[in-house]
Amino acid sequence: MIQLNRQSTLRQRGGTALRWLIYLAPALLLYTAFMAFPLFDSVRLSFFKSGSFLSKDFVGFDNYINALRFWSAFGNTWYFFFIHMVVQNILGILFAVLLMEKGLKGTGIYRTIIFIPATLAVLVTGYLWKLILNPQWGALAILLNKLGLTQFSLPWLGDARYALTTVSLVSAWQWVGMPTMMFLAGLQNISDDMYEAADIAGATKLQTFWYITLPLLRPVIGIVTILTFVGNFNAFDVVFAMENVNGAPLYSTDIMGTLFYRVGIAGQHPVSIPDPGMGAAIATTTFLILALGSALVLRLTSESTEKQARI
Amino acid sequence: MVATFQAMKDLVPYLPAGFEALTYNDSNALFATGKAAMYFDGSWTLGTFKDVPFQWGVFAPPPPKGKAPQICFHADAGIAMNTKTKYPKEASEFLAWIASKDGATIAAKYLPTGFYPMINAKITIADPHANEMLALNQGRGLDVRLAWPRLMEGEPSGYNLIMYGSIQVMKGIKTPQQAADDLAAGLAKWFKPTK
Repeated sequence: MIQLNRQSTLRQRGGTALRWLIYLAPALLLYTAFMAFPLFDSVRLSFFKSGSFLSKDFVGFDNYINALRFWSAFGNTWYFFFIHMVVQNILGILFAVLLMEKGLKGTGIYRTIIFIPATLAVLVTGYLWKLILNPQWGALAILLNKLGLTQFSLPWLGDARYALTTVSLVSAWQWVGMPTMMFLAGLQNISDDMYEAADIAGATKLQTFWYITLPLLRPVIGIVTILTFVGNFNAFDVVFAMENVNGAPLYSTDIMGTLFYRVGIAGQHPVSIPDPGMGAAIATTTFLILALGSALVLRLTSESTEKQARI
Repeated sequence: MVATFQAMKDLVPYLPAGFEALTYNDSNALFATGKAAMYFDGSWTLGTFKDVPFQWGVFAPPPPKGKAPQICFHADAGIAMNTKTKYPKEASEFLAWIASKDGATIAAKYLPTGFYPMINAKITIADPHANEMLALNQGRGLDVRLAWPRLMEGEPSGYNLIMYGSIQVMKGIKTPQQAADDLAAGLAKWFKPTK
């Protein structure tokens, strides 16, 4: 009886697996054809001299070595990420904590205001900020000049010293709603008992935040960090909208995304031939950085959640 | 090149506030709204200012002392006959016509404002500003753009070297001499001048 039963379950299982495969096949096929294959093919392409699509000139790591002269783009991307972590994500926590504050009126309105920029297209916000920051007729320049603060009315997007910071801040402004919402969800999961206990123990607000809120938000911080990291190392649109892809001024706003586009797809302005092999090398490098970075952050945060679970 | 970079540096006091962050379209708008008195550009922008409510004209920057005046042009397109064509007679007839004064005048009529057929005969164009600009060629030497196209074929491109040199000089990051040295050093990496 037992033997029979097992056989029938096995047969049943086999049947189900086959049925699953049929359901999975279209997605698997599409994914392989349009995601997995191009990904691996781009890795292959990065070892070949560019030319025809079926280029056979194997050049080893030459493309990677040549791409090293754009080292500054790598550093700029880290800086771009750093500004987002400091401004966007710390503001995100701050906003989330403020929105959770009991007795705050109109939280819905604040939440909407904080989130609205994230619903707009990057090309739109980038262009709007470009207009606002225009030194001749931009709103900021007019306002500063009216207030007599002419020394602060600077060509924000035209000076290599602050162009990248300006672009990063615009991007942080646009996306601050994302971490805010995630932190808000994280905060809502923290039990009120904890705060009550802290209150009874006589903890100050700062202590409560530091010893209760922040440690319990760690998994969310991890996810937000990964999302910011992935988003920033893939970033292209905000720089494209505000400074175009030549890293103007003086390559100061050149990040991995714009570098890849310029080298691999568009070619350097005004006339140059794109180099798909080198573009693929840059894309592969970005992919490796992203894979390593995400794995690292994920590992760190999952460890911390495990530890918490054990406690 | 040192003198060229110096000339760029000398322009800085006359540029609008925040010029570092102004785009090509911004400078067009500054001139069209009367906020800029003078404006450097090529003939291709002439059509942009067709409807401005003030009178304006074009002039050529004076040459450095003791040098002959030069106008530089950019060859956008050329026309030639394929040696394997089935209709060599017709094609050469057409080419002869398009290079004649009559053909070039008709071509000029249908080209966008500020684009000219470059032939030796003197032709007249309906748009007064376009005509004025073309007339500047009379009595001046003609040459192609400095960086176009030979200096752009290698890495680092002469176009970028000149552009970044100009920015650095105008921002006071480098002296004209340093910028000229950078240009020479950059081009020396790949450019072999033909004699």
